[in-house]
Amino acid sequence: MGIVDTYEKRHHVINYEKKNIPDELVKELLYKAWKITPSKNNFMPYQVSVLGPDQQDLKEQVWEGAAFNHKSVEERQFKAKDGENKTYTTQSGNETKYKFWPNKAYNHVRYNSHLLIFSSRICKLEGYMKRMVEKEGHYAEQCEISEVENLSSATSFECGLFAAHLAGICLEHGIDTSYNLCKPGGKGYYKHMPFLWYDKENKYAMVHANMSMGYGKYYRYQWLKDYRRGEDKRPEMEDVVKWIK
Amino acid sequence: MSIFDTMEKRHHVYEYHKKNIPDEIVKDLLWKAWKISPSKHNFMPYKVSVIGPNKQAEKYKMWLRCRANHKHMEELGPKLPRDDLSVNPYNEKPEEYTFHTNPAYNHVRYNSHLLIFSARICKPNGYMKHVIRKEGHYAEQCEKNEVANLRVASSCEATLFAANLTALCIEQGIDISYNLCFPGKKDRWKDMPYLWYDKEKEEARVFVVMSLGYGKYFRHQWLKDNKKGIGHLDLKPEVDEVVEWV
Repeated sequence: MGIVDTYEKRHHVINYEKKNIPDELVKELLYKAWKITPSKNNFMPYQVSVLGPDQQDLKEQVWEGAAFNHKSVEERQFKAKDGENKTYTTQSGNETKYKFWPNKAYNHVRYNSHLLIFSSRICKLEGYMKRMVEKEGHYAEQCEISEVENLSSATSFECGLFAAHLAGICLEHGIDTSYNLCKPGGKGYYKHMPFLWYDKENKYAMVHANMSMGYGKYYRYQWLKDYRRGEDKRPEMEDVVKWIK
Repeated sequence: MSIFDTMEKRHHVYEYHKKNIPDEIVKDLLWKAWKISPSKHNFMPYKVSVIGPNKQAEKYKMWLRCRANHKHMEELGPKLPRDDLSVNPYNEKPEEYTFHTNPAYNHVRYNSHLLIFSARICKPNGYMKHVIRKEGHYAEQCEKNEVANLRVASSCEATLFAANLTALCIEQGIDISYNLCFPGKKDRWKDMPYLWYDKEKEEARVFVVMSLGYGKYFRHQWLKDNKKGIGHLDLKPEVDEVVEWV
């Protein structure tokens, strides 16, 4: 099957089937994604934390983080507190009363077979790059705790490569995936998840993306249709791709 | 062919053949990548600026920036507190440092097409307009002042497009290479107006640079030819270092 045909099968999942993916299969898919994913100077400055079917408590916490972030961004922007029943002005200029609803689109973070969290990792200096640093004065930012924030955009790009490859490999096996990018950005938020810390002393973590895996049962496009939410179109190609004349 | 077999053919290019990819093929590949790349709320908060074969001056500008950024980081690096790199001799004798242009950036300068992924301020589609008006959703992707806050998420989204485009290119026998070494500051792009998300302040935020062409000489060959004795040490970390089961 060609690349387009494979990726055309990807849909954002609202609910997964209760059937879990065998751990051995997830391991094999992760290995393949690791094998084909390139990285600047071969550092791979991120880690993929895998929460399996028996880690429901942690999945709940990740879901709460997504809902918390959504709520705090809206409250910060509109200076309106949920529950105060105050009127505020929306981005469109109309007035309405604020009531927070956890987004249905986050369901997949809470209930899934496996949840993957991509976060920053401090790399070891060894092999070829160690020689480059010692003999040619190369500066390996990926090995420094103090550079994690400067590198955040580049690291996020690298995580995306791994995730995109994994998504494609999963689709080939009839496994669905969904992404979540709504998560707390503050490095101090993740004190309760030590496995994410890049700085163990200060208990700091930088999360780039969450990605769930499972067998899809109910998808966002169906939900949009069922609740008559209208067509949710992407921008036209010409809005995104610009040929420089 | 499976995605694994396809992507195994990807190699970082040091030199492309002079033969260019026809624009029509590049347009077709870009359309397919656009079609299959998902985006949060369908915003696609990035743009892909395509610099074709007749725009060598623009490619050169980008290459100069990569080079300057590398030099800046190296000169800055040894002056920073060194966590576990105290063996770096340039802490002791910075005067011995000599900058060498990294040949890994060649592909940014000479290629068939160069793509620059950068931040874009979005307009809400019909669905999002409704959600904003009726449910009070706040669409950060439509606000200039949120570009910095969104840089991690937008960069990740741009990648999905880039990764899909890569696979489509390889499927067609076209090579690609990425570059992530360029200035991170938003005010360093004054002479590249097509990248600005804020036209008034002339500010841009670049996520990645990607070149397309037919590969002639690759990094793995260069390591073999030029880094005898150490080239084989250029390995990625083991899968267990990157993937951790909790």
